[in-house]
Amino acid sequence: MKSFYSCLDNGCSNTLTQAMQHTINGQMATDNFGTVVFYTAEDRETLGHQSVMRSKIMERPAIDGIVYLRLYQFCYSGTFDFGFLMELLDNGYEVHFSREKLSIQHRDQLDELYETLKVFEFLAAQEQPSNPGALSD
Amino acid sequence: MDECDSHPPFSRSFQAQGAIGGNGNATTNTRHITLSQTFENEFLESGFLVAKAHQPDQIEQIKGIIFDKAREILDVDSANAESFFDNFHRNGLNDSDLNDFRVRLISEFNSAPNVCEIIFEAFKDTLFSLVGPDAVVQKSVNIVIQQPGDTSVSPAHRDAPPNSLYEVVVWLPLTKCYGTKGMSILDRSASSLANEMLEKEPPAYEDFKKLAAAKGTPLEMDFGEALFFWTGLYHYIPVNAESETRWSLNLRFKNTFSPYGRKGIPDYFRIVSSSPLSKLAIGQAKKSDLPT
Ligand SMILES: [Fe+2]
Repeated sequence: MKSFYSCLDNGCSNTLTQAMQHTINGQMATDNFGTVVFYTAEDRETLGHQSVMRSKIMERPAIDGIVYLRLYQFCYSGTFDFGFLMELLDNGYEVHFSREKLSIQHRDQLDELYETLKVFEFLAAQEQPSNPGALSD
Repeated sequence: MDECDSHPPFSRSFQAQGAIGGNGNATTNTRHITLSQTFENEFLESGFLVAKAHQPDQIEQIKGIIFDKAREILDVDSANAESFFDNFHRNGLNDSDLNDFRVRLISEFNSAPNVCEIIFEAFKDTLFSLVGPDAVVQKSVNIVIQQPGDTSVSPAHRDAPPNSLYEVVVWLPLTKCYGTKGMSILDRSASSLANEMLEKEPPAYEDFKKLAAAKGTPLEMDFGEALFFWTGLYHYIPVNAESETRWSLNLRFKNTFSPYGRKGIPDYFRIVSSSPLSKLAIGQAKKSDLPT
Protein backbone atom coordinates (compact mmCIF):
# COMPACT_ATOMS: atom_id res chain seq x y z
CA MET A 1 0.00 0.00 0.00
CA LYS A 2 1.44 3.37 -1.03
CA SER A 3 1.36 6.39 1.23
CA PHE A 4 0.59 9.90 0.05
CA TYR A 5 0.43 13.42 1.32
CA SER A 6 -2.78 15.17 0.38
CA CYS A 7 -2.50 18.82 -0.59
CA LEU A 8 -5.84 20.57 -0.32
CA ASP A 9 -6.64 23.79 -2.16
CA ASN A 10 -7.62 26.76 -0.03
CA GLY A 11 -8.11 28.76 -3.22
CA CYS A 12 -11.41 27.01 -3.88
CA SER A 13 -12.61 26.16 -0.38
CA ASN A 14 -15.76 28.28 -0.82
CA THR A 15 -16.93 25.85 -3.47
CA LEU A 16 -15.36 22.66 -2.20
CA THR A 17 -15.19 22.42 1.58
CA GLN A 18 -12.16 20.80 3.18
CA ALA A 19 -14.27 17.77 4.00
CA MET A 20 -15.18 17.37 0.31
CA GLN A 21 -11.56 17.80 -0.69
CA HIS A 22 -10.49 15.10 1.79
CA THR A 23 -12.98 12.70 0.22
CA ILE A 24 -11.88 13.50 -3.32
CA ASN A 25 -8.15 13.23 -2.64
CA GLY A 26 -8.69 10.13 -0.51
CA GLN A 27 -10.41 8.45 -3.46
CA MET A 28 -7.60 9.49 -5.78
CA ALA A 29 -5.09 7.93 -3.34
CA THR A 30 -7.14 4.72 -3.31
CA ASP A 31 -7.32 4.68 -7.11
CA ASN A 32 -3.53 4.84 -7.11
CA PHE A 33 -3.13 1.93 -4.70
CA GLY A 34 -2.46 4.01 -1.61
CA THR A 35 -3.79 5.96 1.29
CA VAL A 36 -3.42 9.50 2.61
CA VAL A 37 -1.12 9.61 5.64
CA PHE A 38 -0.97 13.36 6.11
CA TYR A 39 -2.71 16.38 4.73
CA THR A 40 -1.75 19.99 4.35
CA ALA A 41 -2.82 23.13 2.50
CA GLU A 42 -1.22 26.40 1.58
CA ASP A 43 -2.35 29.60 3.22
CA ARG A 44 -3.76 32.30 0.97
CA GLU A 45 -0.36 34.01 1.13
CA THR A 46 1.65 30.93 0.15
CA LEU A 47 -0.58 29.59 -2.65
CA GLY A 48 1.74 30.92 -5.38
CA HIS A 49 5.01 29.60 -3.94
CA GLN A 50 3.71 26.43 -2.24
CA SER A 51 5.97 27.28 0.71
CA VAL A 52 4.18 24.88 3.05
CA MET A 53 4.56 21.90 0.74
CA ARG A 54 8.14 22.87 -0.14
CA SER A 55 9.14 22.80 3.51
CA LYS A 56 7.46 19.42 4.02
CA ILE A 57 9.34 18.01 1.04
CA MET A 58 12.65 19.37 2.32
CA GLU A 59 12.22 16.94 5.21
CA ARG A 60 12.35 14.15 2.59
CA PRO A 61 9.38 12.28 4.01
CA ALA A 62 9.20 8.53 3.35
CA ILE A 63 6.09 8.72 1.19
CA ASP A 64 5.32 7.64 -2.35
CA GLY A 65 3.88 10.89 -3.52
CA ILE A 66 1.47 13.77 -3.23
CA VAL A 67 -2.18 14.02 -4.20
CA TYR A 68 -3.23 17.53 -5.21
CA LEU A 69 -6.83 18.54 -5.65
CA ARG A 70 -6.19 20.11 -9.04
CA LEU A 71 -3.57 21.26 -11.52
CA TYR A 72 -4.33 24.89 -10.87
CA GLN A 73 -2.44 24.59 -7.59
CA PHE A 74 0.71 24.85 -9.72
CA CYS A 75 -0.54 28.03 -11.44
CA TYR A 76 -1.37 30.37 -8.58
CA SER A 77 1.78 32.40 -9.26
CA GLY A 78 0.58 33.18 -12.79
CA THR A 79 2.72 30.61 -14.59
CA PHE A 80 2.90 26.86 -14.24
CA ASP A 81 5.53 25.95 -11.65
CA PHE A 82 7.39 23.35 -13.69
CA GLY A 83 10.43 23.76 -11.43
CA PHE A 84 8.69 22.50 -8.30
CA LEU A 85 6.94 19.72 -10.19
CA MET A 86 10.32 18.55 -11.52
CA GLU A 87 11.80 18.75 -8.03
CA LEU A 88 9.07 16.47 -6.69
CA LEU A 89 9.56 13.98 -9.51
CA ASP A 90 13.35 14.11 -9.32
CA ASN A 91 13.10 13.26 -5.63
CA GLY A 92 11.14 10.15 -6.52
CA TYR A 93 7.67 11.36 -5.57
CA GLU A 94 4.63 10.61 -7.69
CA VAL A 95 2.30 13.56 -8.26
CA HIS A 96 -1.44 13.03 -8.68
CA PHE A 97 -4.20 15.51 -9.52
CA SER A 98 -7.72 14.52 -8.51
CA ARG A 99 -9.76 16.93 -10.62
CA GLU A 100 -7.97 16.01 -13.82
CA LYS A 101 -7.53 12.34 -12.88
CA LEU A 102 -3.94 12.86 -13.90
CA SER A 103 -0.97 11.00 -12.46
CA ILE A 104 2.67 11.81 -13.15
CA GLN A 105 5.01 9.14 -11.91
CA HIS A 106 8.26 9.86 -13.72
CA ARG A 107 10.13 12.75 -15.22
CA ASP A 108 9.75 11.12 -18.68
CA GLN A 109 6.01 11.46 -18.36
CA LEU A 110 6.41 15.17 -17.76
CA ASP A 111 8.09 15.45 -21.14
CA GLU A 112 5.11 13.78 -22.78
CA LEU A 113 2.63 15.94 -20.89
CA TYR A 114 4.47 19.19 -21.38
CA GLU A 115 2.34 20.48 -24.26
CA THR A 116 -0.88 19.80 -22.35
CA LEU A 117 0.44 21.50 -19.23
CA LYS A 118 1.63 24.47 -21.28
CA VAL A 119 -1.86 24.83 -22.79
CA PHE A 120 -3.33 24.57 -19.29
CA GLU A 121 -0.98 27.36 -18.17
CA PHE A 122 -2.04 29.50 -21.11
CA LEU A 123 -5.73 29.03 -20.30
CA ALA A 124 -5.23 29.59 -16.60
CA ALA A 125 -3.49 32.87 -17.42
CA GLN A 126 -6.53 34.02 -19.37
CA GLU A 127 -8.47 33.87 -16.09
CA GLN A 128 -11.52 32.86 -18.02
CA PRO A 129 -14.45 32.84 -15.62
CA SER A 130 -15.91 29.94 -17.59
CA ASN A 131 -12.83 27.79 -17.09
CA PRO A 132 -13.20 26.20 -13.66
CA GLY A 133 -9.60 25.08 -13.77
CA ALA A 134 -8.62 28.72 -13.70
CA LEU A 135 -10.99 29.79 -10.95
CA SER A 136 -10.11 30.59 -7.45
CA ASP A 137 -12.91 31.96 -5.31
CA MET B 1 -41.49 27.76 -46.72
CA ASP B 2 -40.31 27.78 -43.15
CA GLU B 3 -36.74 28.14 -41.94
CA CYS B 4 -36.06 24.44 -41.80
CA ASP B 5 -37.52 23.74 -45.22
CA SER B 6 -35.22 26.34 -46.69
CA HIS B 7 -32.29 24.01 -46.13
CA PRO B 8 -31.19 21.62 -48.79
CA PRO B 9 -32.18 18.09 -47.89
CA PHE B 10 -29.70 16.85 -45.34
CA SER B 11 -29.38 13.42 -46.76
CA ARG B 12 -26.85 15.26 -48.86
CA SER B 13 -23.26 15.40 -47.76
CA PHE B 14 -20.07 16.78 -49.15
CA GLN B 15 -16.40 16.22 -49.62
CA ALA B 16 -14.16 19.12 -48.68
CA GLN B 17 -12.45 20.80 -51.61
CA GLY B 18 -8.73 20.38 -51.93
CA ALA B 19 -6.48 23.17 -53.09
CA ILE B 20 -2.86 22.81 -53.94
CA GLY B 21 -0.64 24.74 -51.58
CA GLY B 22 3.04 25.31 -50.92
CA ASN B 23 5.07 23.42 -53.47
CA GLY B 24 2.07 22.68 -55.66
CA ASN B 25 2.30 18.98 -55.06
CA ALA B 26 -1.03 17.62 -53.90
CA THR B 27 0.38 14.27 -52.87
CA THR B 28 2.55 15.65 -50.08
CA ASN B 29 1.32 16.70 -46.69
CA THR B 30 1.51 20.34 -47.72
CA ARG B 31 -1.90 19.80 -49.33
CA HIS B 32 -4.23 22.47 -48.03
CA ILE B 33 -7.87 21.58 -47.66
CA THR B 34 -10.77 23.86 -46.92
CA LEU B 35 -14.51 23.55 -46.86
CA SER B 36 -15.97 24.75 -50.11
CA GLN B 37 -17.36 28.26 -49.80
CA THR B 38 -20.87 26.92 -50.32
CA PHE B 39 -20.67 24.60 -47.38
CA GLU B 40 -18.87 27.12 -45.22
CA ASN B 41 -21.70 29.55 -45.87
CA GLU B 42 -24.20 26.82 -45.18
CA PHE B 43 -22.53 26.01 -41.86
CA LEU B 44 -22.50 29.68 -40.94
CA GLU B 45 -26.18 30.05 -41.80
CA SER B 46 -27.56 26.83 -40.35
CA GLY B 47 -24.92 25.96 -37.74
CA PHE B 48 -24.56 22.40 -38.97
CA LEU B 49 -23.50 20.25 -41.86
CA VAL B 50 -23.25 16.59 -42.79
CA ALA B 51 -19.91 15.46 -44.16
CA LYS B 52 -18.61 12.21 -45.58
CA ALA B 53 -15.48 10.71 -44.07
CA HIS B 54 -12.49 11.48 -46.23
CA GLN B 55 -10.90 8.32 -44.93
CA PRO B 56 -13.78 5.78 -45.00
CA ASP B 57 -11.45 2.95 -43.97
CA GLN B 58 -10.90 4.63 -40.65
CA ILE B 59 -14.59 4.87 -39.91
CA GLU B 60 -14.90 1.19 -40.85
CA GLN B 61 -12.11 0.52 -38.36
CA ILE B 62 -14.06 2.33 -35.60
CA LYS B 63 -17.18 0.37 -36.46
CA GLY B 64 -15.14 -2.85 -36.41
CA ILE B 65 -13.73 -2.13 -32.95
CA ILE B 66 -17.22 -1.53 -31.55
CA PHE B 67 -18.64 -4.57 -33.31
CA ASP B 68 -15.88 -6.84 -31.96
CA LYS B 69 -16.16 -5.54 -28.41
CA ALA B 70 -19.95 -5.67 -28.39
CA ARG B 71 -19.98 -9.29 -29.63
CA GLU B 72 -17.37 -10.21 -27.05
CA ILE B 73 -19.28 -8.63 -24.15
CA LEU B 74 -22.57 -10.23 -25.20
CA ASP B 75 -20.85 -13.47 -26.14
CA VAL B 76 -22.79 -13.77 -29.39
CA ASP B 77 -21.75 -14.86 -32.86
CA SER B 78 -22.50 -12.53 -35.68
CA ALA B 79 -20.71 -12.13 -38.98
CA ASN B 80 -22.38 -8.96 -40.12
CA ALA B 81 -21.94 -5.66 -38.29
CA GLU B 82 -24.85 -3.94 -40.05
CA SER B 83 -27.28 -6.66 -39.12
CA PHE B 84 -25.88 -6.95 -35.57
CA PHE B 85 -26.39 -3.24 -34.91
CA ASP B 86 -29.79 -2.96 -36.61
CA ASN B 87 -31.16 -6.04 -34.88
CA PHE B 88 -29.52 -5.49 -31.55
CA HIS B 89 -32.90 -5.21 -29.76
CA ARG B 90 -33.53 -8.88 -30.58
CA ASN B 91 -30.98 -9.77 -27.88
CA GLY B 92 -33.74 -8.89 -25.41
CA LEU B 93 -31.60 -7.05 -22.84
CA ASN B 94 -33.57 -5.45 -20.00
CA ASP B 95 -32.88 -1.81 -19.03
CA SER B 96 -30.35 -2.69 -16.38
CA ASP B 97 -28.46 -5.18 -18.58
CA LEU B 98 -28.50 -2.72 -21.45
CA ASN B 99 -27.03 -0.04 -19.21
CA ASP B 100 -24.29 -2.39 -17.95
CA PHE B 101 -23.54 -3.42 -21.53
CA ARG B 102 -23.30 0.19 -22.69
CA VAL B 103 -21.09 1.29 -19.78
CA ARG B 104 -18.71 -1.61 -20.39
CA LEU B 105 -18.70 -1.07 -24.14
CA ILE B 106 -17.89 2.64 -23.75
CA SER B 107 -15.09 1.86 -21.32
CA GLU B 108 -13.56 -0.86 -23.50
CA PHE B 109 -13.96 1.14 -26.70
CA ASN B 110 -12.25 4.15 -25.17
CA SER B 111 -9.43 1.95 -23.91
CA ALA B 112 -8.70 0.82 -27.45
CA PRO B 113 -5.69 2.72 -28.82
CA ASN B 114 -6.17 6.03 -30.61
CA VAL B 115 -9.91 5.91 -31.25
CA CYS B 116 -10.24 9.71 -31.14
CA GLU B 117 -7.25 10.08 -33.43
CA ILE B 118 -8.80 7.66 -35.92
CA ILE B 119 -12.06 9.63 -35.97
CA PHE B 120 -10.11 12.88 -36.28
CA GLU B 121 -8.15 11.51 -39.23
CA ALA B 122 -11.29 10.26 -40.92
CA PHE B 123 -12.81 13.76 -40.90
CA LYS B 124 -9.60 15.76 -40.73
CA ASP B 125 -10.37 18.06 -43.65
CA THR B 126 -13.71 19.12 -42.23
CA LEU B 127 -12.33 19.49 -38.71
CA PHE B 128 -9.35 21.52 -39.90
CA SER B 129 -11.77 23.88 -41.60
CA LEU B 130 -14.04 24.20 -38.59
CA VAL B 131 -11.61 24.32 -35.67
CA GLY B 132 -8.16 24.63 -37.23
CA PRO B 133 -5.02 22.53 -36.90
CA ASP B 134 -4.64 23.21 -33.17
CA ALA B 135 -7.39 20.93 -31.93
CA VAL B 136 -8.47 19.20 -28.77
CA VAL B 137 -10.89 16.31 -28.55
CA GLN B 138 -13.18 15.03 -25.82
CA LYS B 139 -11.25 12.32 -23.98
CA SER B 140 -14.05 9.79 -23.94
CA VAL B 141 -16.34 9.08 -26.90
CA ASN B 142 -20.00 8.49 -26.02
CA ILE B 143 -21.89 5.57 -27.53
CA VAL B 144 -25.68 5.84 -27.65
CA ILE B 145 -27.89 2.84 -28.36
CA GLN B 146 -31.60 3.50 -28.92
CA GLN B 147 -33.76 0.43 -29.33
CA PRO B 148 -37.15 0.69 -31.05
CA GLY B 149 -39.76 2.19 -28.73
CA ASP B 150 -37.24 3.20 -26.05
CA THR B 151 -38.73 6.33 -24.48
CA SER B 152 -35.67 7.26 -22.44
CA VAL B 153 -34.54 10.05 -24.75
CA SER B 154 -33.16 13.45 -23.75
CA PRO B 155 -35.45 16.40 -24.38
CA ALA B 156 -34.36 19.02 -26.90
CA HIS B 157 -31.38 20.87 -25.50
CA ARG B 158 -28.22 22.66 -26.55
CA ASP B 159 -24.78 21.69 -25.28
CA ALA B 160 -23.54 25.25 -24.65
CA PRO B 161 -23.64 26.25 -21.91
CA PRO B 162 -22.16 24.38 -20.03
CA ASN B 163 -19.99 23.50 -23.03
CA SER B 164 -18.21 26.25 -24.89
CA LEU B 165 -19.71 27.93 -27.94
CA TYR B 166 -16.32 27.32 -29.56
CA GLU B 167 -16.93 23.57 -29.76
CA VAL B 168 -18.30 21.48 -32.57
CA VAL B 169 -20.23 18.30 -31.81
CA VAL B 170 -19.62 15.34 -34.08
CA TRP B 171 -22.51 12.89 -34.25
CA LEU B 172 -21.58 9.70 -36.03
CA PRO B 173 -24.20 7.05 -36.76
CA LEU B 174 -22.99 3.47 -37.03
CA THR B 175 -25.98 2.48 -39.16
CA LYS B 176 -28.19 4.09 -41.76
CA CYS B 177 -30.43 6.78 -40.27
CA TYR B 178 -33.89 7.51 -41.60
CA GLY B 179 -37.22 8.61 -40.18
CA THR B 180 -37.10 8.54 -36.38
CA LYS B 181 -33.91 6.47 -36.38
CA GLY B 182 -31.88 9.65 -36.84
CA MET B 183 -31.18 12.87 -35.00
CA SER B 184 -33.23 16.05 -35.22
CA ILE B 185 -31.64 19.44 -35.08
CA LEU B 186 -32.89 23.03 -34.93
CA ASP B 187 -30.92 25.33 -37.17
CA ARG B 188 -29.53 28.67 -35.99
CA SER B 189 -32.69 30.59 -36.71
CA ALA B 190 -34.96 28.08 -34.92
CA SER B 191 -32.47 27.81 -32.07
CA SER B 192 -32.50 31.54 -31.54
CA LEU B 193 -36.33 31.47 -31.43
CA ALA B 194 -36.01 28.70 -28.84
CA ASN B 195 -33.63 30.85 -26.81
CA GLU B 196 -36.16 33.71 -26.81
CA MET B 197 -38.86 31.36 -25.52
CA LEU B 198 -36.68 29.93 -22.77
CA GLU B 199 -35.38 33.33 -21.71
CA LYS B 200 -38.93 34.57 -21.00
CA GLU B 201 -39.99 34.89 -17.38
CA PRO B 202 -41.38 32.31 -16.75
CA PRO B 203 -39.83 30.27 -19.58
CA ALA B 204 -42.35 29.33 -22.30
CA TYR B 205 -41.38 25.66 -22.08
CA GLU B 206 -44.53 24.29 -23.75
CA ASP B 207 -44.06 26.65 -26.71
CA PHE B 208 -40.43 25.57 -26.88
CA LYS B 209 -41.42 21.89 -27.04
CA LYS B 210 -43.86 22.65 -29.89
CA LEU B 211 -41.19 24.63 -31.71
CA ALA B 212 -38.65 21.82 -31.33
CA ALA B 213 -41.13 19.30 -32.73
CA ALA B 214 -42.14 21.54 -35.63
CA LYS B 215 -38.73 22.93 -36.58
CA GLY B 216 -36.46 20.00 -35.84
CA THR B 217 -34.84 18.86 -39.07
CA PRO B 218 -34.70 15.05 -39.10
CA LEU B 219 -31.45 14.00 -40.66
CA GLU B 220 -31.16 11.16 -43.10
CA MET B 221 -27.63 9.87 -43.01
CA ASP B 222 -25.61 6.89 -44.12
CA PHE B 223 -22.88 5.15 -42.23
CA GLY B 224 -19.64 6.93 -43.15
CA GLU B 225 -21.19 10.36 -42.75
CA ALA B 226 -21.06 12.56 -39.67
CA LEU B 227 -23.12 15.47 -38.51
CA PHE B 228 -21.07 18.47 -37.36
CA PHE B 229 -23.07 20.95 -35.34
CA TRP B 230 -22.44 24.06 -33.31
CA THR B 231 -22.97 23.65 -29.57
CA GLY B 232 -25.41 26.59 -29.63
CA LEU B 233 -27.98 24.54 -31.60
CA TYR B 234 -30.88 22.70 -29.96
CA HIS B 235 -31.08 19.05 -30.88
CA TYR B 236 -32.78 15.85 -29.81
CA ILE B 237 -33.16 12.27 -30.76
CA PRO B 238 -36.77 11.24 -31.24
CA VAL B 239 -38.22 8.05 -29.80
CA ASN B 240 -37.11 5.44 -32.30
CA ALA B 241 -40.34 4.31 -33.99
CA GLU B 242 -38.53 2.30 -36.67
CA SER B 243 -37.97 -1.44 -36.47
CA GLU B 244 -34.17 -1.18 -36.17
CA THR B 245 -31.88 -0.10 -33.34
CA ARG B 246 -30.07 3.22 -33.67
CA TRP B 247 -26.33 3.23 -32.78
CA SER B 248 -24.38 6.44 -32.73
CA LEU B 249 -21.22 7.99 -31.35
CA ASN B 250 -20.82 11.56 -30.24
CA LEU B 251 -17.77 13.60 -29.34
CA ARG B 252 -16.67 17.20 -29.33
CA PHE B 253 -13.74 19.06 -30.85
CA LYS B 254 -12.56 22.60 -30.37
CA ASN B 255 -9.58 24.77 -31.05
CA THR B 256 -6.94 24.29 -28.38
CA PHE B 257 -6.63 28.01 -27.73
CA SER B 258 -10.27 29.11 -27.94
CA PRO B 259 -12.36 29.75 -24.80
CA TYR B 260 -13.41 26.69 -22.82
CA GLY B 261 -16.75 26.12 -21.13
CA ARG B 262 -17.19 24.22 -17.88
CA LYS B 263 -15.11 21.41 -19.33
CA GLY B 264 -11.44 22.10 -19.69
CA ILE B 265 -8.14 20.50 -20.52
CA PRO B 266 -6.91 18.02 -19.40
CA ASP B 267 -9.97 17.06 -17.33
CA TYR B 268 -12.28 16.62 -20.35
CA PHE B 269 -10.29 17.38 -23.50
CA ARG B 270 -6.91 16.33 -24.76
CA ILE B 271 -4.76 17.55 -27.62
CA VAL B 272 -5.34 15.69 -30.87
CA SER B 273 -3.51 17.93 -33.33
CA SER B 274 -1.00 20.77 -33.17
CA SER B 275 -0.04 23.25 -35.85
CA PRO B 276 3.61 23.48 -36.88
CA LEU B 277 3.75 26.96 -35.36
CA SER B 278 2.45 25.75 -31.99
CA LYS B 279 4.95 22.90 -32.08
CA LEU B 280 7.80 25.36 -32.58
CA ALA B 281 6.60 27.74 -29.87
CA ILE B 282 5.96 25.00 -27.35
CA GLY B 283 9.25 23.31 -28.17
CA GLN B 284 11.03 26.58 -27.50
CA ALA B 285 9.24 27.14 -24.18
CA LYS B 286 10.04 23.58 -23.13
CA LYS B 287 13.76 24.25 -23.28
CA SER B 288 13.50 26.81 -20.49
CA ASP B 289 10.69 25.18 -18.51
CA LEU B 290 12.18 21.68 -18.49
CA PRO B 291 15.95 22.08 -18.71
CA THR B 292 17.72 18.77 -19.15
FE1 LIG C 1 -26.44 17.19 -26.64
